Amino acid sequence: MTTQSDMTGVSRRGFLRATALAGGGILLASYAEPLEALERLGLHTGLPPMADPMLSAFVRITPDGIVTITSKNPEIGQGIKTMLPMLIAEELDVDWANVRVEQADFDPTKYQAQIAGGSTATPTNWLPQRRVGAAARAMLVSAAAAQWNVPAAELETEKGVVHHRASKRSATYGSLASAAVSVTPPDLATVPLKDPKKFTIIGTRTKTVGLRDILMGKPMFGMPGYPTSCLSNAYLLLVPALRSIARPLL
Amino acid sequence: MPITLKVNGTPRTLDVPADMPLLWALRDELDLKGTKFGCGIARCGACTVHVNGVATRSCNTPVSRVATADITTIEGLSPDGLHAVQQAWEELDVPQCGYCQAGQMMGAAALLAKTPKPTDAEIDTALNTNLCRCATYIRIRNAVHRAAEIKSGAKPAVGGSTPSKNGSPDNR
Repeated sequence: MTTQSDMTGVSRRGFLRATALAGGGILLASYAEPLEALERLGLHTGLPPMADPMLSAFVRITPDGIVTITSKNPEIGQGIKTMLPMLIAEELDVDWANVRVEQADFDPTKYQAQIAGGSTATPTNWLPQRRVGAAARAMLVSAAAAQWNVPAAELETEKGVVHHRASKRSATYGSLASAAVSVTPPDLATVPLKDPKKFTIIGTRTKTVGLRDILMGKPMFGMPGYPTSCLSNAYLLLVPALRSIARPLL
Repeated sequence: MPITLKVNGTPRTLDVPADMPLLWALRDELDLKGTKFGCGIARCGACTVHVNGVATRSCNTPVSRVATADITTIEGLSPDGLHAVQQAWEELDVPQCGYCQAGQMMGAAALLAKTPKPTDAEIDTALNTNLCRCATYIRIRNAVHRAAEIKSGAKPAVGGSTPSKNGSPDNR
């Protein structure tokens, strides 16, 4: 297995927890180690230190095949609410039309750094979020392999369906989700990722998540950007810190 | 002072000072948050609404001046969110952050009501002071042209949020 590190240069250990959903389906929560390493590099978030691992992603798969992904970073027009879920959906191998995105609440005790600034979200999430999707896919494949009593290696996935070509069997993720809860989640550091040549979501123009709400004038914005707003202050504080992380890599 | 405003076809009676900006009445009194506060001095266009069909900055329009007028906000632009402008905006995925877009769409809708086939120059003149900090101007102009086509009967091609490799709407 190759080990790839993300932009922070910090090897973050992550793990998944699977829980059954009432009414069927699976909830996957991905956790990463606290960002102490970032603090050492000069990123002072001003948030209380965190003993527990931070939550980095939530994925829900319900029996109807709808995949609901929680996007943790604040959306301020940079498209993160579209991009982060695309990373998970790509590796999970689902039809983007069946993906729903929910914005995470602002909760530093749960998510720690929920920030926008410094153009770091794509490189820092590139591998961790894809690994979450890949691990979820592997669990669904394992569930199908157990049901059909065939080796997982013989199974393929496409658009939210697991196929066993040899026996012409297939099952939707929705129908496998409940069974996947009891599969041991794979190690996020070593779970195999897709060959980028096979990407069907990443690299395609994907309409802005929440576009309809904008067009209907739904109340989805926070306070107008007064110079003293929390967001502006957070941004001003974080940019130099984030630059100091990025500099060695530039 | 009680005042009755006709907003999106419905008379609404408010007890507010006569010089209260229409924007405040819409957002804070009537809870119509689609119209945005941008600059507060009628220079950015985020607060644009229709007053008797004319694009008007609501942030510096006192409620007393529009008491007998027909006021339309983004929430009332169409009953189902399918005004030609909204369809075109969706098709071309115009917004980036979206904050100014209600004002942009209201400006565009008022323009198209008067000028069904606007030229680039007419669009630029009409929307000249509707500022977009994300600089989506090229997509806005393309979407106004597309909305004109939709209004004249061309088939809308709104297809939800399915990824497509057909390139960027910037390059139409």
